[in-house]
Amino acid sequence: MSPDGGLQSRLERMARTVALAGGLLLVGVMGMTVVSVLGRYLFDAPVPGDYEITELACGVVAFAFFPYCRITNANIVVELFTGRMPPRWKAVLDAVHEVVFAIVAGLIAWRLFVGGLHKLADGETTMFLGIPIHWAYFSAMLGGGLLAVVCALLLLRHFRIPAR
Amino acid sequence: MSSVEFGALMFGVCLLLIALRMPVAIAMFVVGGIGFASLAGWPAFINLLNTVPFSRVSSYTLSVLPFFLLMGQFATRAGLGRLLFDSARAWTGHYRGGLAISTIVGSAAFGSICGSSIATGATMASVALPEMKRHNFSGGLATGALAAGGTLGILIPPSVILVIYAVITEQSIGKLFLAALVPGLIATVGYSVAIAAYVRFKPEAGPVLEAVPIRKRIRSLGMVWPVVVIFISVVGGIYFGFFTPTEGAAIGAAATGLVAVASGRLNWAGFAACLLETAKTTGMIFLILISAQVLNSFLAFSQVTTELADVLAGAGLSPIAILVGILLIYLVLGCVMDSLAMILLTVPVFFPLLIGLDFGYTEEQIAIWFGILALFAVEIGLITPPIGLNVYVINSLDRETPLGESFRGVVPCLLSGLVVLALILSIPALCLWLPGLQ
Repeated sequence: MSPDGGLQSRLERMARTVALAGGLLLVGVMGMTVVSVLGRYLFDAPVPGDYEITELACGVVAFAFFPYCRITNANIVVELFTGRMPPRWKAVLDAVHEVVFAIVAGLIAWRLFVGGLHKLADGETTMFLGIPIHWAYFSAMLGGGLLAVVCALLLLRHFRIPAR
Repeated sequence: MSSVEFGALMFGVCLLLIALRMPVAIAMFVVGGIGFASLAGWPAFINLLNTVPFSRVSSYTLSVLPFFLLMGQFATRAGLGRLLFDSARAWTGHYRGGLAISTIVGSAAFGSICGSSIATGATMASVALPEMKRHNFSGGLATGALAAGGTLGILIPPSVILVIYAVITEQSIGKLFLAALVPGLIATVGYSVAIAAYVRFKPEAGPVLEAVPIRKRIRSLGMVWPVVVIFISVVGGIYFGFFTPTEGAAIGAAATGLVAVASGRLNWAGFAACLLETAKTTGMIFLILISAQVLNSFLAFSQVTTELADVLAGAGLSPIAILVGILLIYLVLGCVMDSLAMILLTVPVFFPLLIGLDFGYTEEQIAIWFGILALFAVEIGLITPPIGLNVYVINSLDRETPLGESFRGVVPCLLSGLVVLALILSIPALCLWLPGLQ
């Protein structure tokens, strides 16, 4: 196996771990929501700030899922119109799309970081619990950054193959 | 070039890029981004990206999606697909083509705790396909019934597509779920009738099984009570406002998870697999949602939507002709495009247009009615040749049946789906009555 292959499997494991962490956060929020509803009806005492925790967690969870979604090729691609295209042409198209995907992912990760810095500078917090918003931005940045790295790696792999 | 023409042109470019295998989310993002930047300038676009991607997915309402997706995964792991299929089979197996009808009924029941069409189809296939093969059902009928049954996953609430429609049109998720219930049940009956009619002409396709004694049938119903309880508490609780859709979905996911643990089938590896499957589908949907937000920022800026509405309003078409036209576009687009992307691309354009038309209904009634119509049009696209996604997925699970045969097998259900769509179009009360809008 080439050194690239090793890097790819390492990144795959990392994307999987991040997705699992996101999944555990999701399950945690699920548990909190159930407790909050029970608390509201049984003891008239919901979990304080449960809505804003859910809202921030949902964003962080989504970004934690993106790299795994990308590396397992789970994003939707319409293949009907290119079904009979020669494989070489398809490979060219896919290479172009991977460049674009990497640029988009990089752009999102970069602006997420800048957005987080702005929130930090503004000192913006959630209404009820006063959780600083930039925490959520920087946590999501981990997922967004990993997505960009995964895209870059898939791209490199594409260009190494024809070199013999 | 006016900004309206530019908007229309870029919309076409987006469709072209999608046809050229660009991931749907990326095509929408790139076209929306370049379009927005050309109209408003690059700094405005770059600044838009400071907040849009995170704030789009960091949403209390949208968190309902991963919860429902997780619930579907737990339901699959808990073996609820088999329980529901076995129960349906006890009641319908002794009719001609009975196992195919059991597949439809079982899928409808599974759809009541699963919001995704592909997950419902795949789960039921793992249970029903071997059984139908064992009893010498034709491959076309078996895979056709499973593909059609899969659509009940989104027709019967909870439904991923309806949640997304509710979010982009700012309608009540609870009302939309309830509105989908009667049409979903009609679709279930319609598919069953279509299969019964098909085996009347082709008796060899669907053999008859031995009848199950009535006591056993009733006992089989007793096994499926967790599904009934979860469905009624989640959908009822959301509609009556006992809890928000997000809370309902979290409770449903937790309850289904408990059922899975109690069934002894959910170990740690299975739990991790549930999380990873949820991650894949959630990631796919949320990335498209971010891109759709970027694209819509551009379309709104170019005013192509309002212009289109003005043109159509000036054309002297009757409201119902416009609605039928839109549904025809859905049926055609649905043959070649992913359902979710189609809803996200078109609803922001069509919805404001329809809301402004005079159907003799209130805005909310039109919104709910159109949501159900769009849902059914999308569902029909999932089983229409040449790329009906459900037929592909199910066919890939059955190596012995050629794809063409699967598509022929789904035709009776496809026709019945079109009839149901026409029914809802002509009798809006079918969806408006249950949520109390009629």
